[in-house]
Amino acid sequence: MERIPIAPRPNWQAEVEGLGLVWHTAEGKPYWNESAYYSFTAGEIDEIEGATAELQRLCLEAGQAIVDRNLFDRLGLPAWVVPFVRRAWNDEPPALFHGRFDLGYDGRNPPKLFEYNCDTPTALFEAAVVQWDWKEAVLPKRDQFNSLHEKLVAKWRDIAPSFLTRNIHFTHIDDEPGEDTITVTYLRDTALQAGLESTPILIDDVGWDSARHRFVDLDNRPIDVLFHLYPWEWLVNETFGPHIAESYDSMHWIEPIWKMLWSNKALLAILWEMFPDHPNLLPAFFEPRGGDYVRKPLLAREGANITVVQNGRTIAETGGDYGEEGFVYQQLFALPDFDGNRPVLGSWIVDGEPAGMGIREGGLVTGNTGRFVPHVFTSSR
Amino acid sequence: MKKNRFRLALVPAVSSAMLAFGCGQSQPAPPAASFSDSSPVCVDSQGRRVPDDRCRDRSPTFYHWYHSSHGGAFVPIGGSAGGRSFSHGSSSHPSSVTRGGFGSSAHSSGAGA
Repeated sequence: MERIPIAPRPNWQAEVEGLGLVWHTAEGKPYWNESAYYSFTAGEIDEIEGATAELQRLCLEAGQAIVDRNLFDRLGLPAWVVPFVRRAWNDEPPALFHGRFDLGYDGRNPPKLFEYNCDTPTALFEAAVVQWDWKEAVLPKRDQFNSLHEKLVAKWRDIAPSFLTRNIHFTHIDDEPGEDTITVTYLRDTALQAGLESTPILIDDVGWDSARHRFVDLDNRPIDVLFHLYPWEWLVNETFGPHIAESYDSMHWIEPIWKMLWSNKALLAILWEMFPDHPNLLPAFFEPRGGDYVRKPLLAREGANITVVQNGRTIAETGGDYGEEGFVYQQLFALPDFDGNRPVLGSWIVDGEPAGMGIREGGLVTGNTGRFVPHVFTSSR
Repeated sequence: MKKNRFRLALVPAVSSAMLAFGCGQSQPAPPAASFSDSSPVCVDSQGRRVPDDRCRDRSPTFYHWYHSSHGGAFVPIGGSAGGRSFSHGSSSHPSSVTRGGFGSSAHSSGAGA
């Protein structure tokens, strides 16, 4: 694993904007950073891919344990949600079954799980499309751990017959950077290539028809299938939340409500309880156990409300609105340091299988200001 | 890992629309061209406009985003955003439909992780 500086393409902003990456710069600094790339050996990619598959297996076992042993109180879920989570877990409704494992990896030791972003994962478009386009333009003879696009199209094609409609509604917030808008638009594109149709609707515009007991779009058409880049913990706690139960039998949610089991950081402590000393896990608990650790709210997003404690002192802390729901305490992992750049691997799952990787660099905490850096690997062993 | 060339249709169109309307500048980006041209205002349970901050905070919600589907006419604080409630006021819409019950937890930076 190496970090190799390289001259950015002179017109890189126009190149990535042409693909759709309109949020390439944040606060005057590149979010898309092609002034360097990461290079891996095929063996290292095999290790990352294998760890990703293994972590998915562990998460399946942990999810089953939560359901079987009724551990929902550890996740802080509203009581009315539990029967629907349990039912969705058992029924396995059609979904993309996708997500992003955030991993610590230094090229020498096994990858370690930081968290699983599997409800509303972003950094997808840049991983699937933009870094591949960069590789083809800059290092065409190298390879890349990236089959995201094909797997997404294939999964839409696989689940399409499950629905009574060809028309999927896609919802998200009206975000200022455009990241959510384009991420969802990209997923609409992959559905389109699978032969489906799509209707976009902002989350605020989703209507509730109390006469028909259905969620409706802006034309008051019932929504049969809804892809949502909007977290389940927000959906169930908002004004329309109870209507989810009322209309549950008449619509499909992608991803399903059981994703609340995995997007909750309580999963990290449950995994460690079930698989202590697993090489791909970091010790994690529901209370501090001493040593150096990272305190994470159960439901935080984008690196919010994270506290890093080393030698008994807080050495980094991020702000935010989370924490009332409780915390987990995960052993601090020393990210590799490439001249001050600390990479976190985002290893993707689609249809339950490893599907590619994106890398973001940050400081001690990788939040939504991290820089995305492309990667390649050497095919020969 | 070899793959076919991408054949994206929607992303270039939407991103171009966002750039044309100034995404990446200091002002908030308008909705992409393919989305509703509605203009949200924050209203209380009586349909009166209140400061937008009340819809953005994460406290128990008595406030809702109201989306006008009629061009987003300016509504002063305290003014009525849509008549009786935060539901759509158009006679072409069924009176049984209400909107704005999702979205109150959102942060402007996004809902992704």
